[in-house]
Amino acid sequence: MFGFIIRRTLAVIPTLLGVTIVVFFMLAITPGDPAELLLGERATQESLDAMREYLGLKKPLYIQYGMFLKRVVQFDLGETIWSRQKVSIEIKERFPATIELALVAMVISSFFGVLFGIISATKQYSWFDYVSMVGSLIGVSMPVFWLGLIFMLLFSLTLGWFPMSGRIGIDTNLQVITNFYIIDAIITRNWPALMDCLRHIALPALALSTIPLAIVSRMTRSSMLEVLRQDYIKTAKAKGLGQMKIIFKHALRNGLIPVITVIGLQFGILLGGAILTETVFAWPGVGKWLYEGVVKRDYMVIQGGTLLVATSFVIVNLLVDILYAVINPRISVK
Amino acid sequence: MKLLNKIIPFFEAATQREDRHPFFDQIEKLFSNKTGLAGLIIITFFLAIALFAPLLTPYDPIENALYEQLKPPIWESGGAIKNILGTDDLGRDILSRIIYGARVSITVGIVSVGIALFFGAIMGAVAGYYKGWLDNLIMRLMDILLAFPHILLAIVIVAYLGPGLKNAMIAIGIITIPRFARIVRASVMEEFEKDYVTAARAAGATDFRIIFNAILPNCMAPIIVQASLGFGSAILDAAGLSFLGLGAQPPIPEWGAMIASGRSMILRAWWVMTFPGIAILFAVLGFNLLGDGLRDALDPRLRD
Amino acid sequence: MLERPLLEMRNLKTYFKVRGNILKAVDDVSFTLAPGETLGLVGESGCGKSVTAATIMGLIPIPPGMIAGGEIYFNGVDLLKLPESRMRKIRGCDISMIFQEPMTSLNPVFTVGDQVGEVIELHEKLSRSEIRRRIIDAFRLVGIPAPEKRLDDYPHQMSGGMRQRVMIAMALACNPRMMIADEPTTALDVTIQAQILELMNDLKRKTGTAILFITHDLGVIAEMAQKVAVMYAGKVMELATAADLYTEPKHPYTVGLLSSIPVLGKTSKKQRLSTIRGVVPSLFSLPPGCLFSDRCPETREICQNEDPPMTTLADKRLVRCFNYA
Repeated sequence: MFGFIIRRTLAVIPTLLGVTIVVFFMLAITPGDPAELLLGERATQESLDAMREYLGLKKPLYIQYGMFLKRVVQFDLGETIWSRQKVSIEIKERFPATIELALVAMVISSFFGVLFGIISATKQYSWFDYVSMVGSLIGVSMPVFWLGLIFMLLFSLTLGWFPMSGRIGIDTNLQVITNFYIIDAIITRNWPALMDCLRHIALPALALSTIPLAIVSRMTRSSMLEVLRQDYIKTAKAKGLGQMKIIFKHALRNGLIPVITVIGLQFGILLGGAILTETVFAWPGVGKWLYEGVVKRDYMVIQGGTLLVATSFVIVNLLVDILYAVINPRISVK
Repeated sequence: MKLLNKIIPFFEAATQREDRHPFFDQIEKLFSNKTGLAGLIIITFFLAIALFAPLLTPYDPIENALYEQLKPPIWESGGAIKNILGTDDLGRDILSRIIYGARVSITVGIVSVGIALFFGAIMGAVAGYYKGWLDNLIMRLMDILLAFPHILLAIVIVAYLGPGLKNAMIAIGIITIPRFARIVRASVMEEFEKDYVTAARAAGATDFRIIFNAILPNCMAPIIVQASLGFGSAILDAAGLSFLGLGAQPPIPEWGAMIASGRSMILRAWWVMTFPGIAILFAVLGFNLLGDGLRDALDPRLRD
Repeated sequence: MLERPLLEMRNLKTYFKVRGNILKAVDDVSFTLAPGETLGLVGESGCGKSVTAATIMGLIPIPPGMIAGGEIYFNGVDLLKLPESRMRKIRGCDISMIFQEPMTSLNPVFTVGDQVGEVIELHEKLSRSEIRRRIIDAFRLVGIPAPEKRLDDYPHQMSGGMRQRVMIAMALACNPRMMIADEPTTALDVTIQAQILELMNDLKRKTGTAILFITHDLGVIAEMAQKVAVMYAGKVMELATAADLYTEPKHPYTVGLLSSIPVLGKTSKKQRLSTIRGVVPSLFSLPPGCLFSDRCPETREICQNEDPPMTTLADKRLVRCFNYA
C-alpha cells in the first residue's frame, strides 16, 4: 500500500514538470518582449531591464526555464501588473473562496447524484428512472453560465430569495480567520454571517453542481445496475437480508467505488471550471481573478493562476487514485 | 435476473436474421434506439436552419434597426409578430440571430472536432502502432494536456493567441485532441493483435497503409461516438469562450456572445439572454443524445 | 420412509413473461424431501433446475416471473403464501443455499468472517464475541485451517475451494433444516470437487441437514443422493431412488444421459460414446406432445401429439413416458 502511494506520487512529477513547461513556453512563444508583456505598456526602462535580468532573457531558453522552475518551486510567481501585489499573496486570498464554492457544489451534487442514481438503479425503467436520466442528459448539455444567469433572474432579481452576486454582504461583519467564510462564521459563532454566506453561495453552488450532479447520478446508476447483477447480491438475498440492507450495505459499498473516483475527478474539474460561474456571480475566487488577468493581459496572473489550477487538479487526481486503492480491498495487495 | 439472462438467448437466437451486413443491423439499431433517433432529429433540424438561414430569416442578423430596440417576444405585451422572439438592444431580431448562430456553432463543431480528430487520430495511431518510446512520449503529452481542467486550457490558449472565433476554434481543437488520441490508440492496439493485420504485414504492406487502410476503418465505431460527443462539447466550450469575450466578437451572431450582450439588460429584457441559451442547450443535447445512441448501436462495450 | 416430508413440492409452475411470450421454466414439478435426505435434481442447462431452487427460496423476480400454480410445503407451511418478511426469516436460517460460482458469490469488499457473521447476526440474537466464536466453529466444521486468522481475509485472498468452504460455512452457520446446493462443484477443479463433495457428505452425516442437490453431472449425484429427479425442459421426466435409476433407467432421456457418461474400462476405443441427438428445445418453441419426442430414439406417433402423464411404476418410481403409461 505504502509502496503504491509512493510510486503513484512519483509518477505525478513528470506531469507537473510538463505543466510548468507548457506555462513557460506559452509566454516564450507569444510574440513580443516577455518583459514588456509581463510589465504592461506603461513600464519604465529600468523596470524593464530589471525584469529582463530577473527572467534571464539574455541567457539560453533552457536556462530561462530552469530559473522559472526555481522561482515556481519557491512560490515566487511575480507581481501583478495592476495591483503590484505578489501573485502568491493574491492566490492565497482568493483560492479559499474557489475551494469553498467547489466543495459546496460537490456536496450538493454527490448527495443528490448518488441518491438519484440509487433510486434509478433499483427502480430501473420506472418514471423516476426516465426523468432522472433525461434530466442528467439535459444537465450535461447545459451552458452553466447561462443557467447561472437564469437562476439569478429567477431567484434573485424576480423572487429576491438570494443575493445576486458576491460572497458576503457588505454590511455583514465577519472576522476572517481561515478565509473559508463558512468555517470562519462557524468558529466565531457568528450565525447571521453564516446565514448570509450560505445565501450568497447558494446560487453559484447550485449552478456549478449541475454537470457533476448529472455525471454522478449516471455513474451511480450504471455502477449500481452492474453490482446488483452480481452473484454476491444473490448470496445476500439467500441469507435472508432485507432489500434496504442489500442495497445500502452490499451493493453500495461496491457500487460507490467507481463513483468516488468520478466525484474526485469532478471536484478537480470544478476547481478550474469555476471560471465561468465565478465570473457570472462575481465570486471573488481564483477563476474570476484569472479571467480578469486574461482580459487585462496580465501574464503573471495568467501564469500563476494556470499553474495553481493545473497543479491542484493533478494533486486532486492523485488523491483520488490513492483513495480508490484504499477503499478497494482488491487493489491493496497488488 | 441471472435466470432470465439464461433464458433470453434462446429467444434471440430464434429471431436473428441471417445473411445481412452488420452495418444494416447497426443502422436499424440506431433508428430503433429512441435516444439516438431523438438526437438525429434535433441535429437535422439545426443543420437545416443553418443551411437555409437566409431563406428562413426575414431580417439581417447583423444590421442595426435602431427604432426596433428591445422589443419583447410575441406573447409579452408590446410584442409583435414581426419579431417572434423579440429584439436586442440594437434592434436586431433575436430569432434571426439565433438561426444564423446555428451556422457559427456548426462551423465551430466541424473545425474544432476536425482539428482534434486529425491530430488525435495520427498521434493515437502512431502511439498504438509503434508502441515503445514514441507511445510514451505522445501519451505523456496527452497527460499534460489533460492536467489542465478542460475550459481553463482553452482560455489560456486564447489568452496567448488573442481573442477571436478562429483562435477559439483552434484552442478547442487542441484541448479535444487527447480524447481522440486515447481512443484511437486503444483501438489500434486492440486491432493490431488481430489476424488481418498480421496478414497485411506478412503481405508486405507499408505501416502507413496498414494503419490507415486496414486498422482505422475497423475502429470507426468509438471514433464516431467520440466525434458526436466532441461536437456537443465544442459548441458548449465555444459558447463559454464567447461569453467571456474571448471567442466570437460582436457583431457575429454567436449564441454565447449573445448571452453575454444580454447579461447587462437581464432585468429589462430577459429574452435577449434567455433564448440563445435554449438554442445552445438543444444543439448540445442533440449531439449528446446522438453520441449515446451511437454508442449503444455501434459498440455496446463502450456503455458506461 | 413414513416420516412426514420436510419439503413437499406439488405441481409447481414458475413461468416467465418475456416480450409477450410465456416461458414455462418450471412446469408441473412435484417431489418430496425427507429430513436428512438428499435429493438430486439433474438435467441439462436451462431445464429449470435453478428456477426450481430460486422458487423455493422466493428469489424469483416478479415480474417478469410469476408463480402460475402449485404449492411448496416446508415443515407444513406453504412457502408460496408467506409474506416476504416471514420468508426472509426462513432464508439463510431454515433453508440456506450455496451457489455455483464461489469466485463471485462472496462480496469482495467484506471479510469472509463478516459475511458469515452476518447470517448469524441476522437470525440469532448473540453478542459479538459469541458470533465470532460461531464463525470460528463454522469455519472449523468445513475444514478451513487456522480459522481465527482466515476470518479476517478478504475473498480475493482465498482459493476457489476455500471460498466454497466459506459459502458452505455460511450456509450451515444457522443450522438449517435444509440446504440447496446449486451446482456447488461445477466451477471447481476435479480434485477440489472431490474434497467438497466429501465434505458435504460428511457434514450431512454430522448435522442431518436435508440437501437439494442441483447438478448437470450424473456422476456427482451418484455419490451424493438417495433420490434423483431428472428434469427436461421444465418437467420432471423420471423420479427414482439413485440405486434404481443407475441400475435400470426407464425413461429414454435418462437412458440417453446415463449412456453418454464415459465409464473407465467399459468403453473400448472402437466403441463410440453414445450421445443424445439434437439439442434441448428452446423454451420458446417447445414441441407439441412429449417434450422429448423430437430427440427420443423410441418416439411414436402418440408422443408427438399428446403429453404423456406421470406414471407410478411398481417400484414406486415415477416416469413420464408413454412406454410405461
